[in-house]
Amino acid sequence: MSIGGYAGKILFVDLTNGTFSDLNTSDYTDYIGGKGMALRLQWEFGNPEVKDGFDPRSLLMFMTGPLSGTPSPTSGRMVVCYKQVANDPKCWWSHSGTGGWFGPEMKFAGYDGIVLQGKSPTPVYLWINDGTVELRDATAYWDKDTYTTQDSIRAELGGDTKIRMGVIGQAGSNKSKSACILFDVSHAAGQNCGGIMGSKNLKAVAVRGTQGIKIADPEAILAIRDWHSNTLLPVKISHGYSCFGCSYPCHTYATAGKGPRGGNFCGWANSYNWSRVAYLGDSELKKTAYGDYYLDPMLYTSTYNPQSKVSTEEPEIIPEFSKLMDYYGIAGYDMIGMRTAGNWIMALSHDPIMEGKFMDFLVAETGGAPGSTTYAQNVPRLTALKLGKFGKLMADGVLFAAMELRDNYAEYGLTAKQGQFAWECYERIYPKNYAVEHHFYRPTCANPKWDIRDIEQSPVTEMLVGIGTRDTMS
Amino acid sequence: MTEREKISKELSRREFLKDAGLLVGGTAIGSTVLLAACGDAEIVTETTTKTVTETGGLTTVTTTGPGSTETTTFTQEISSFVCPYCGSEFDTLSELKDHVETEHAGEPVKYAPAKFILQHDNAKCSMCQICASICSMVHFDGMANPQLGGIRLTKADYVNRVLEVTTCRQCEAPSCIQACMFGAISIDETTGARVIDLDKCTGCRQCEQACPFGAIVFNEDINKCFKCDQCGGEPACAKYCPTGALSLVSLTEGGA
Repeated sequence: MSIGGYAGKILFVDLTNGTFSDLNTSDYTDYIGGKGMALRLQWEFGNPEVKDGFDPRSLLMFMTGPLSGTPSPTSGRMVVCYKQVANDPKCWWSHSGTGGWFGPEMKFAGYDGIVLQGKSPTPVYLWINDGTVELRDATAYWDKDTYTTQDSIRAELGGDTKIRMGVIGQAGSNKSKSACILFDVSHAAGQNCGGIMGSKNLKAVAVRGTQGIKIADPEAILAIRDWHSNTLLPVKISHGYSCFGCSYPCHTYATAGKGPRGGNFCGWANSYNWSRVAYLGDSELKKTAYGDYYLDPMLYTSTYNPQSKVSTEEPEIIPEFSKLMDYYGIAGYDMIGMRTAGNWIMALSHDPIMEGKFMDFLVAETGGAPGSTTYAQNVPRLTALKLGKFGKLMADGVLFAAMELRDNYAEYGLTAKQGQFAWECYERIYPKNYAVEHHFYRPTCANPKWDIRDIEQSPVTEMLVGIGTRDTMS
Repeated sequence: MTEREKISKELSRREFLKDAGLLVGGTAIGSTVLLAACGDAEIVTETTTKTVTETGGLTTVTTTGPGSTETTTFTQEISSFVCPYCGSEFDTLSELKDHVETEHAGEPVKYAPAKFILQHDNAKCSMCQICASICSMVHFDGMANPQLGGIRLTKADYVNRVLEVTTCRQCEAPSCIQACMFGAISIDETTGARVIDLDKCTGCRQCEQACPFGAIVFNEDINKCFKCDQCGGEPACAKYCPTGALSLVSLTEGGA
C-alpha cells in the first residue's frame, strides 16, 4: 500500500493445486509497467523448457502499470503477457494490451497483477472479491459463449454489474490458436492468448474491488488532465461510453475534427473510426439492425480494418460479424485472427492459380462465397467450434491454414505477411528482439505527422523486417 | 471481502434531542452483522458500538474472525453542540436541549438555501469515473478511489448502457444536518453547499443512514463520513469531466 500507483500485491495462482500466494509488487517496480514486471516474473517463475503457451508450466499474466486505475488519461489499459502458441517456427514471448475496466477493478480488488500457472483438473473460474480469492467450478459454462458465460457468472456471484470479467468463448475452450480473451463486452486481448487460458482449464477471471490507489503526486495528475483536455480535444462530446479513466470515447474522436491519426490514447482510436466511416458511412454512433444488445459502438474486431472484406453484399453485416467474433471469443485484431483471414481467404478464393477450387471449397463448407451474408454469419461459428473442414482449417489462423495448404504457402503466406500487417511491428512477428518495438516502432509511430497507414511503405519498416529476419533465421 | 449490512435505528436530530437524556452516557446503537466471507468456510462477526457522551462520540468496532478478535476504538471530543435553529453553541448536550426546549419550542428549522447544484447529464456521461476518482484524490490526500468520491457511479451497466450517478442534491431541509449529533454538517456561506466538517465528524454514520439519496459515503480508512462539498464553488469533478456531463448550475440567477 505504501508505494504510490500500486495496489501492493501480485496474485500468484497455481491452478494445478488450486493454491494462491501473494507477491510483493515492490520487488518488481524496477521494471516499469505491466509488461516490464511480467518479463521479470517470467524470468523468475517461467520454465525455460516450456516450448509454447499450451504447456501447463507456462505463465499467463494479467498485469497493470502504476497509472492503471488512477485518474490519469487512458488508465483503463492493462496487458496480458504469456508465451506464444502461434509463432512459427518458434513460439516467443508475447503480450496483448486491452482497455476497459478489468485492469482498474483488479487494482481496486488489491492486486496489481495475476500470474496463472499450471492446469486445473476441472474447468474453473477465478473470483477475486476485494482481496479474497477463490476458484469456482465452471463446468457448466465451459461450452458457452462469452456473453452467456459473463451473464451466468455475474448472476452466480450476486448480479453486481460492476463485476468485471475476462472470459474465453468456445474458441478458447477448444484451445484454438485464434482465440482471444474477451474483457466485458468489447475489449479483447487477442494475439492467441484465449487458447492458453483454455488449455489451463480456466474459463474466466472475475474481479470486484473497492480499495483505492494512492497517488504520490495528485497535482501532476491534474496537470496532465488539464493538458489532455486543452490540447487534444477542446470539443467535449460523448456517445456511448468510454473505458475507466479514459477521457474520450474512442469512436467520437474523429467527429471532433482531429481526423484519423494514431499515436495517442490507446492507439487505436483512429482505426475504429476508419471502419465506421468506411462501412456505415457516418461518424456518429448508430445502432444497427444487428446486435442492439451486445454490439460495442466501437465495432471492435474485424470492422476495424477497412480492407477486411468479410462481406460486400450488405455492409451492415460487418457489425454482426464483429459481434459473432466476440460472441465466440475469436481474436479479430490479430496476426492470425479472422480479420486478416478475411483478406487471405478473399485473395485465395479469387486467385487464378487455384482455379476456383478454394472458392468451391468455401461455398461447400460455409454456404456462400466470401462477401455473402451467409458466409459472414457462418465463418465465426465454424471456426470457433472447429466444425467441418473449414473450421478445422481456420481454427488456428491464417499461418497454420497456409501451412496446411502448402502448395501456395510461400505465395500467400508472404502476401498476408503470415497474417499480419507490416506496421504492427511488434516482437510478436519479429520475435527475437524485444527492443525493436521500443527503439524503432514506438518513437516513429508517436510522431503525429506520420500517418500510420503509410508505415508499410516506410524505410523503418524495411529496417525492422531486416532486423527481424536476420534474428529469427539465425 | 465482506458484504456490509447496516442495521441501525433511524435517528433524526429532533428525536435525538428528545431522547438525549436517555442516550447520554449510554450506548446509542449496537449492531451485530454476520458476514459470510469466502463461501461457507469462515464466518466473520463485526460488532459496531457507538456511544455518545456529554463531551463527544465514541465508536468501537470489534471484528471477530476465525482465531482472532480485533477491536478498534475511535474517539472524538466535541468542543461544542450547535443549535440547528439559531446556530448558538453550547458546551454540553443538556444545555443545548434546554435551549431548544425553551427558545425554539414548536418552531420549524429553516436552512439557508443552496446557491448551486451539481448537475449531471446522463446522455453526455461516458461512465469513465474520472469525476469520482478525482474527487477522492483531491479530498483524501491522493487516495484515488472512485468508491469514496462525493460523486459516484452507483449503477454501471456498460452492456445496456444503464447508469446512475449519485451526488448531493443540496436538499432544502437536509436530513443529514438534522441527523448529525455533533454539528459537523454546516452550510457553506459562500456556496450554500451542505458540507461535512471532517474535524468534527465522529464517523457515527447517522447522516449516511439519514440521506434518502445515498449521497453520503463512509470512508473506513479515516473513519469519517464524506459528501460533496462543491469544492468551495469550483468542483474538480465538473472541471475535469472530459465529456462535459457535469456542471455547477446556479440556483439563484434564474437557474433551475
